Amino acid sequence: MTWDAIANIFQGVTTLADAFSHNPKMAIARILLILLGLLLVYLGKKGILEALLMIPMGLGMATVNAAIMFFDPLNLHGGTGTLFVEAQAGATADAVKNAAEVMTILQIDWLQPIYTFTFSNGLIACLVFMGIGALLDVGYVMARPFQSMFIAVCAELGTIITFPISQWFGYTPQQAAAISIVGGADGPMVLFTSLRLAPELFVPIAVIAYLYLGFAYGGYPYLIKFMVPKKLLAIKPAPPKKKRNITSGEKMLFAVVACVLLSFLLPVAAPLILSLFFGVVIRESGIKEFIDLLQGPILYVSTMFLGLLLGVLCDANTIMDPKVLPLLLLGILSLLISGIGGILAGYILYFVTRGKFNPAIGIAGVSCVPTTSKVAQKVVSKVNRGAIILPDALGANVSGVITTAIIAGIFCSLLAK
Amino acid sequence: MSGWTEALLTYGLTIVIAFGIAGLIQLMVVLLEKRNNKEP
Repeated sequence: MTWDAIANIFQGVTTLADAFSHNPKMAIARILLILLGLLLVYLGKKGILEALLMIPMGLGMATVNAAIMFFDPLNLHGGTGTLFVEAQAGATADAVKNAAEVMTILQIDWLQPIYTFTFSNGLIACLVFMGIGALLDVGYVMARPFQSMFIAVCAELGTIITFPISQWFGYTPQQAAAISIVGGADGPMVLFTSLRLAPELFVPIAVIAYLYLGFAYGGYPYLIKFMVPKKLLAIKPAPPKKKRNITSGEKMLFAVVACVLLSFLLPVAAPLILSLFFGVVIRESGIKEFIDLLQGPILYVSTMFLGLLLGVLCDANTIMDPKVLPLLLLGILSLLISGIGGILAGYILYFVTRGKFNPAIGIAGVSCVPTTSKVAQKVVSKVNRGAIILPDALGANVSGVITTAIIAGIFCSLLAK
Repeated sequence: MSGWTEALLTYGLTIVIAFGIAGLIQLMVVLLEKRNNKEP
């Protein structure tokens, strides 16, 4: 047996050694991505980052960078590849060649069917949105519509400001829109917009968006503590003047009207709008079997495969693309400005209500349902256990999803090639 | 820096649509409340 034959058995090691001699940057990136993947699993397990996404994503990231072998059936990566997924299959200008590439790779890569049939057409984003819709109680928005929408609109500042900044970094308007929508903090919306406007950047944008959404879970509490003093964090929201129970029929009526109206205004975003309000309508319809299906298997299976696929898409080749590095900065900038915008809206409402509004609620305008609401309540509860801000926060949260859908729809209509 | 026109247009339209929806919700709630009060 020769050394070559032995090296051929352990191709993960051989490709790494080979990369060290030919392209050391790529080899180091591979090792760092394996370590980052393991770190994400650890932080997910510890509850510092969102476990639902980070555990499958981290494991996928670590494994795909370990499992690189001498295999490149489409000649896309200089002779190396994996048996997981090929995002670039079918991305040429030739439709016949694309079909042939996709058919070939569908029979080789085990996660390719999920990528081709649910990722690249936005289906997985819609399925996640149906599940989220089935968890949403629109009664919180109906109880205080103007307050919720005001916070949500201010919490879109990151999306708006990052759009021209991204163009300054050299991205096209379509790419800039896809990048800046990260500030809406709505994963499915980011997937949808990048697929429509900048499919060439879909993988890195999606990966970075979900990575940062995990970090928002850990980072936003610090932003709240930095911007809101303890005295204001302890404020108990004033009870509503007239307390009336909003019936499920009224919530359903709102969901149906909003769905049709928003789809009429923004047909490009109609698949996402329908998915979200379909979930809401099912929730309020009381059909237990459908509610259980959407809130359980559909939401969790979609989220699990979303995390796993995003992880395996994080190979060193994709992440080391020079166009990707500025995305790391722009994504976090967008989320940071949105968070600041939301808290500033909270301050405006604090002054308008003469000190009866807790400014920490503002962070919930950055949608990411229901994470930012939970984050705000957690921070407030540490200061004052009696301050229940969750109903107000959830109102802003649901409105955040609606405003992000509006912006995504406008961007897609305004900038579609 | 280019892109501010599109950004401001998008933001303006978002504000109009978002507050339009808020107004619609408010109107719906008020009408439903009136209808409920009329019912014996």
